[in-house]
Amino acid sequence: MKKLFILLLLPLFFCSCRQKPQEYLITAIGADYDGGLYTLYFEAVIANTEEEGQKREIITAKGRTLLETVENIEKQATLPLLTSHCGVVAVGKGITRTKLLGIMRYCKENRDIPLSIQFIKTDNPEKLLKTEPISSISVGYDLVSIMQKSNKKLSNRLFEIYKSQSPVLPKLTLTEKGYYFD
Amino acid sequence: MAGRISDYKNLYISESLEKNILTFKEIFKNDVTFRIKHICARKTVPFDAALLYIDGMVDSTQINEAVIEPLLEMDIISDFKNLAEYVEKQLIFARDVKVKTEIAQMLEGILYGEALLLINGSSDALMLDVKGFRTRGISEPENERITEGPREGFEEAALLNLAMLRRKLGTPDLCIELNRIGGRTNTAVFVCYLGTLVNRKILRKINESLKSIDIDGVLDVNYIIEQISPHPFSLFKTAGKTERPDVIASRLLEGRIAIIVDGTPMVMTLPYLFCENFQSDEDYYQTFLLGSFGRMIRYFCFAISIFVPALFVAITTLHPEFLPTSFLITVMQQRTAVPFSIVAETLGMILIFEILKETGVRMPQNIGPALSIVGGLVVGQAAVEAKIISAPTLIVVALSGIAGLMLPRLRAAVFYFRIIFVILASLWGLYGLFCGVILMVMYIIAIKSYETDYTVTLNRISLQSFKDSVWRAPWRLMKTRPFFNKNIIRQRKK
Repeated sequence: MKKLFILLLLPLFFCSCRQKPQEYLITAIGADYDGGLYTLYFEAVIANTEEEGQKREIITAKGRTLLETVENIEKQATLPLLTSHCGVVAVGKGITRTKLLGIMRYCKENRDIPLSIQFIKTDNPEKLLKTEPISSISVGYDLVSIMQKSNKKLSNRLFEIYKSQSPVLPKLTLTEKGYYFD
Repeated sequence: MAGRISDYKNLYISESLEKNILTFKEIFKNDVTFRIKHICARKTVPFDAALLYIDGMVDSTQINEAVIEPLLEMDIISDFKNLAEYVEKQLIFARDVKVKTEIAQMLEGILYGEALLLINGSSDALMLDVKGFRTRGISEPENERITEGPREGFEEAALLNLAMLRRKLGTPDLCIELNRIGGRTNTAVFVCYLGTLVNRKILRKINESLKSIDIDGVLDVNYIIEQISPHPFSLFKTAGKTERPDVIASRLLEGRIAIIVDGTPMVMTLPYLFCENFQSDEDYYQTFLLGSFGRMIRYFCFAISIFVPALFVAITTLHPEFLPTSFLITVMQQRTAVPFSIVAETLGMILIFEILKETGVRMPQNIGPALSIVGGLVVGQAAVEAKIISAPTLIVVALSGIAGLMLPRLRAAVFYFRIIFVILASLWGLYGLFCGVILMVMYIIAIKSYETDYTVTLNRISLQSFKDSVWRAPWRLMKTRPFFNKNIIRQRKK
């Protein structure tokens, strides 16, 4: 009986150890390639206490390969990354077709990233993610909501494009007044 | 020193009244309520007798009017063949008179509230039914209250309970067998069934189990349930318990067996099926639409009460992708300052809920609501504000707890499975939970209640088998009795 009781209690301790106190909730990913280096921008939301509200951060890292860049992002982040609620991947001008296919493959193979994540093209992903969100907690979710309300059928979700060898992504233009899709 | 009635087996009284009185005096030497009344009738021929009884258990008016007065007043003749038989048949008017010779049988009667008449010159004694102890009276069972239907409930005196049952079942087919169980309590245990409907194999097995019980005392029906249960460690009940005569009558009409124990208002029924955990007496006393809805709600509540805390733990710790972002952020925000892990918090809250529930049950009725307010609202609110627990966990555990209250017969199963599933979910997430569910279903299917599959009414998908398990069909469609009883008349109607 004692052993059974200890067995019942063990998970409490193990789960407490495993429990993450706080996480970066990744809402959007920006990717660009320049001078032989990948640059990734992770838009992260930290859920603080109700009184403090949420805090938004852009985590940036560079690397020679995509995987190395992701590893560098993870090293930079002070909290664990939660990518299951990521809504958008914004790719910059430097991302060629082959590199885009590599990013799509990485997203598909990473089981945490949802298959419904939407891919868009933009001139400057860093600038895009660093603008202040308009209606929601993050730029990533603002973009998702704009695309949902759009009359055009965009067909830019990962499960719609990952089989395509030359995916066509909607282009987002950033102006001083805001952003819009061409 | 003999302490059990069985110690007096094969000991008989003699023809000497004086010697017999001394024997009983010796047996009851430490009992101040034991009374001996000497009767010396001298109207015609000398007649000496003694009436032995326990004070408080007999009706003194009856003793005077039916026994003492006739013995003193009537003309006793001397040309009889058997003195005891003559007194029994011609002199006294007690409700029931039995001739006894063995001391063990006499002790059994005296301790059950009967009076013993010892006659000088006869080696037979008369056991007179002059029981007259006070009972609690018929009242509505506190734990099985209903808004429609019969309100009477069993009480502690088994004979009264048998009369209530007999009033519901006006048929000579109702069989009642008496067993005495308990070495020192010698409790009367009655086995009741309808002779043409009962499964003889099950009856034989139950009788064998009852006879094999070796216990000092039986104070409640649960003493017997635990002794004869084929699955004594089962989390699910394998024997039904109720305080309502209407429920027992309906169970007997289905071919089941009822066991009534003297001294408790709880009556057990066997075999017991899984679907009975979800049935309420009221289902049958209101329209079938309402009854069926209530029953399906109970199945739903069973699922909520055991799965919701585990699902919450699994999703928030290992599968956050299942949560909508806004809800995930709310959960994260709420949990920011809480010092415990979700699983520790959930398990702790489940235990606190059980403590509150237990305290509420044990408290006097007028303190109960105050305790609910202080325990549930004040302490809960304060704990959330003090960031000791998070509001989502509190909501989840409260929802699960309230849903569990709908199923009082599954209390043990709900409590243990809730905790087991939370632990599985915390270790292996939804995979752990699903494995747990599969194991639970296998466990339920493997249970047998007295030669009957526990899930017999759910094993095959047909309207007739589901008629009184998943929903409550209209009475005109309830054509057959439950499937557990294949050897008896299946048709409910003529």
